[in-house]
Amino acid sequence: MTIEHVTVEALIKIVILASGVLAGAAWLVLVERWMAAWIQMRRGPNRVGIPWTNIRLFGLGQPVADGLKFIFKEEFDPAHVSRGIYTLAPIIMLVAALGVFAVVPFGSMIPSLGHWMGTEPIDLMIAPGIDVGIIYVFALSSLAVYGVILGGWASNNKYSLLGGLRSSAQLIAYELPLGLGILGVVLATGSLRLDAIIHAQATTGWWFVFTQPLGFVVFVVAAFAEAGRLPFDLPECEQELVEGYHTEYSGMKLMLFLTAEFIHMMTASVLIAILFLGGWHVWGMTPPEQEIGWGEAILRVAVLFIKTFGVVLFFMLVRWTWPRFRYDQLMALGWKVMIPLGILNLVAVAVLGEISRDQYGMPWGSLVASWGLLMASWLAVAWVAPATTDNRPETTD
Amino acid sequence: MNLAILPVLLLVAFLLIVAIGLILLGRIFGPHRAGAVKEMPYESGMDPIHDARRRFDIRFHLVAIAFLVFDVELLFLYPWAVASKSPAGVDQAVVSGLVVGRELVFAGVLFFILLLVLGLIYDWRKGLFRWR
Amino acid sequence: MNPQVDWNTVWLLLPELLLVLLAVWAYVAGAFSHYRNGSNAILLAGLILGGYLLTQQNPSHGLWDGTAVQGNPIFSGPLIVDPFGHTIRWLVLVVGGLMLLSMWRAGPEDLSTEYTGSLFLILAGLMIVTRTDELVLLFLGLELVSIPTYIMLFIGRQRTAAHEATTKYFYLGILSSGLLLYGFALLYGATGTMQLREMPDVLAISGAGGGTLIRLAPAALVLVIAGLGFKMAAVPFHFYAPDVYEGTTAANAGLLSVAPKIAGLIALVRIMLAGFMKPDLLELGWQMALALALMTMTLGNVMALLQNNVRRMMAYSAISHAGYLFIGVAVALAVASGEVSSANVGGISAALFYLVAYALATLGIFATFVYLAGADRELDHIDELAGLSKSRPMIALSMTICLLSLTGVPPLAGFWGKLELFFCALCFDPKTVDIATRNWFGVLVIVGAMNAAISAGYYLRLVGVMYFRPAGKSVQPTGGSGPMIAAIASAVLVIAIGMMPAWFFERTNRAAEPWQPIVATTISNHASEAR
Repeated sequence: MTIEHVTVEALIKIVILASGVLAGAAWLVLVERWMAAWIQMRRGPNRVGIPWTNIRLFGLGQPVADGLKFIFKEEFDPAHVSRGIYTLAPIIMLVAALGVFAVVPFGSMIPSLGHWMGTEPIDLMIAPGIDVGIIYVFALSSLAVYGVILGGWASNNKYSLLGGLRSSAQLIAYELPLGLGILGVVLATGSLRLDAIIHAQATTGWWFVFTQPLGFVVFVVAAFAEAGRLPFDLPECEQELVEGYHTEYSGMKLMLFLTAEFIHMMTASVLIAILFLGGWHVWGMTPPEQEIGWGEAILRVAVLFIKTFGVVLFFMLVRWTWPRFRYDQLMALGWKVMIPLGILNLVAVAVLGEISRDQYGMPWGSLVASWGLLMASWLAVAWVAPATTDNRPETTD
Repeated sequence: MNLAILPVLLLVAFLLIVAIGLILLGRIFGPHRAGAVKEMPYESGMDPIHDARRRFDIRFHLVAIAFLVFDVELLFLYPWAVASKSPAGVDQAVVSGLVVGRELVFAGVLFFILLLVLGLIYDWRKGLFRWR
Repeated sequence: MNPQVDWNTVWLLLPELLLVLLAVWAYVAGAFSHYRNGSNAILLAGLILGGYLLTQQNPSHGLWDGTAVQGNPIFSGPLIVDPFGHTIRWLVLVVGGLMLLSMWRAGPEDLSTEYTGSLFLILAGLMIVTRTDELVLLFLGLELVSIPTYIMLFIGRQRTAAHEATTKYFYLGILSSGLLLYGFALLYGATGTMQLREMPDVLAISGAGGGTLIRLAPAALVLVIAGLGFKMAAVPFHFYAPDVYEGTTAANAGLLSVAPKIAGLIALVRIMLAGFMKPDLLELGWQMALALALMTMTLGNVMALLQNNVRRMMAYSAISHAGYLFIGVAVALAVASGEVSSANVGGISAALFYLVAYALATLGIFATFVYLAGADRELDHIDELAGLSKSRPMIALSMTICLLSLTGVPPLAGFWGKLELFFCALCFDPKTVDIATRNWFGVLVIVGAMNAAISAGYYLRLVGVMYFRPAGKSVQPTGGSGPMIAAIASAVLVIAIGMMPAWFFERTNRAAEPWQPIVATTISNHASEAR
């Protein structure tokens, strides 16, 4: 592999991926609006189609119109902001949000494309040589905190500062359960590479959602909070903080923030699909053989995309059906429930793995134990903090 | 030269170009109209009383410190999580005589997690997570 | 050569683990209950248990599964097991017990266990410093001494002066850690190894050839001595000491005058006599140590004469005793550099003995201050001691004993320590010694003796105030029985060492044994032969 070879291959993948993800984000916004309309029993966006005709195409032209609108809106820097940081913040957000996809495998591999590309099959991943995989994902998604706090501080606005502070406190609080959920998966796989994690689930046939249900719950809740999606959208709650850290943003910078947040949700969905839902694996359809032809490769890509889309739909469904947490409830859930549960899950995975180390696959005893753990922790949380009690914030020390 | 990191650098460079390019695009095509009210910080129509950069609740600082401690402790667990299962990890270390047995590694990690839990209990009891 | 980690490693670290666990227990339990007597009693019991563990871990007895210590693969790892470290561990336990007693009621009620827990982390850090042969673990141990110290200084007393003292100590502490770390980095760059015991070979080999990084070694040496000089409060780096001692509580001042000094001296001995074993480096080392000793002794004692605040006076006293410790270091380095040979026990043994005598006497004095002061107010001016011999004769007597020991009055521990130091600096073999070197050490001894006379001035002033000045403002001792026990126990130990110095000399000589026969030239010769 020469340097030119790697560069060209990577550039092709990068262009496909970036345009794909950005376009996907644009049309998923449309899907989200449709879903909101469906839940609220009204018609969503359904008018914008092909211009100067009467063809409406169910509103599929809406994202294009939105994008054009953003371009022609004013790009305004108020006088009171710190301009350098103010401009830097949305750039950091977008780079961190999209940069995550460097190590995410989209499906597994496609066969060689012929002479110039060599004879080896091609990984459907931008940087197949990066072994740190999930840690890279973790690191880049932590960088999103910088975008939030820098944007909130540089805006020099009280709403923005409060939103930025709240948001960074929320993001760092939920990063710990996120990491604990990932640790359980890494412990069961023995590798940090995402494709190796999928492969481990495919060879045993046991997706980690079945073997580590508690870890799955913890990870999904933390992923919702990290993406700032609705039960946890305090950083930008419209009513209280007027969009939080991007109150002072407008035009293209605002679009970068909004896109980056949406991409965070897509990243979270892909990660949930890969880490816990088996990635490209479905029993009987996509067996884990290494030698794959075109049909198999396309099938794997399709399976992964369908799973990801399903998780995205779940995100949207939750957004339009759940109320928002109060801030003290949010922090209490993160520190007092999710982190202890995450540690519990980690210890359980470690102990069960150590006990059943020599056996292949998933013994039934461990399976029963991990589901029992989920039930026990659910009951314990419900016992300690039942949903019906007076949950007003404590006013005394 | 190790080429593994090259695609990542290319991706980051590409994204920087895209992000800056989009901002420039808006700057070129958008209108430019300034005004005294438009330059003010937005506070729902009221005139701001003072700068936003003032002291804020110390609690955010405490949470940030707690996060740093726990996050670094979690990062220490990743090498163990990889080495525990992978064939070149703990088992290899036991075979080559680096460590006397898996139990010692496991006991060490459990001790470490115990300290982590104790730290959490301490912070909890000290009211670090109490927001009102 | 691979370091084998097995249960023996855990066994060897058991006292340290015990201390860390006790500290963690104190922190967590303190979050639930503020019952100070109970938690302190458990911590004291833990120290006694640690003492039992130490009796089981005597290096000459072998490991717990009966294998011999010598030749054990553990020796190639970062841990080192030798009589030196073992002796210092005993010292640390005794010092820790005395400090715990004198801090029995220190600090605010709701943070009392944070206070004692931090003390135990400091003790664990001291133990780690004494037992390591590797730069990383050494630095970790030193930080485990420093960082809890900042916490203790802060929660010792909630007052502006105390917070100013804390901030001062914090910034200078991290500065000294930075210097030290920079020195370690250069040392690692020069030698390519973290293991101190592998460094002399590398230094010897690359010094002859064209290794350019070796030129970093003198810079590393200077930085290491500067960083550790901060910890020991040696003279060009002593500025913080009087202000910090004055601002903080007496218990904290006692801690500051003992714990960092132990850590600094041990780290210096470990690094210099294991890592920098090369004649020219050691020559630079003993010259620096000699200069530091001269400046530190003189300035500390002269400044102490001028003070009226007891803690400020004791701060300068602590500075001057750091100078005495540097005499021993200078002698040891000079002997190791091969310029002089000595038939005597050597500097390390003398410095160790002096350290023990100094630590016990100083803790006794500070325990007395704690006892006389109490939780709310501090003993500030010397005149507040007036008439103590009438109101509290036992305390006055024990404090007099400690003060006389620090002065160097014959039947007490301090006398034997000073004697040993001066003796080892004078008894060079006349055939080998260079005249200039000999003269320098002669000057050192003369200055040391003069300084002992100067120090008598202010120590005896305290004694005079206690015995011959009529009571003016009467002091109400509110410190409780813990500090009183600590003060009397220190005085008893000082007398005991003074009464049977031979027994203790034997111990310190055995502790210093690892360095007794080593001279850098022989190591270099071995290395060049091996090459």
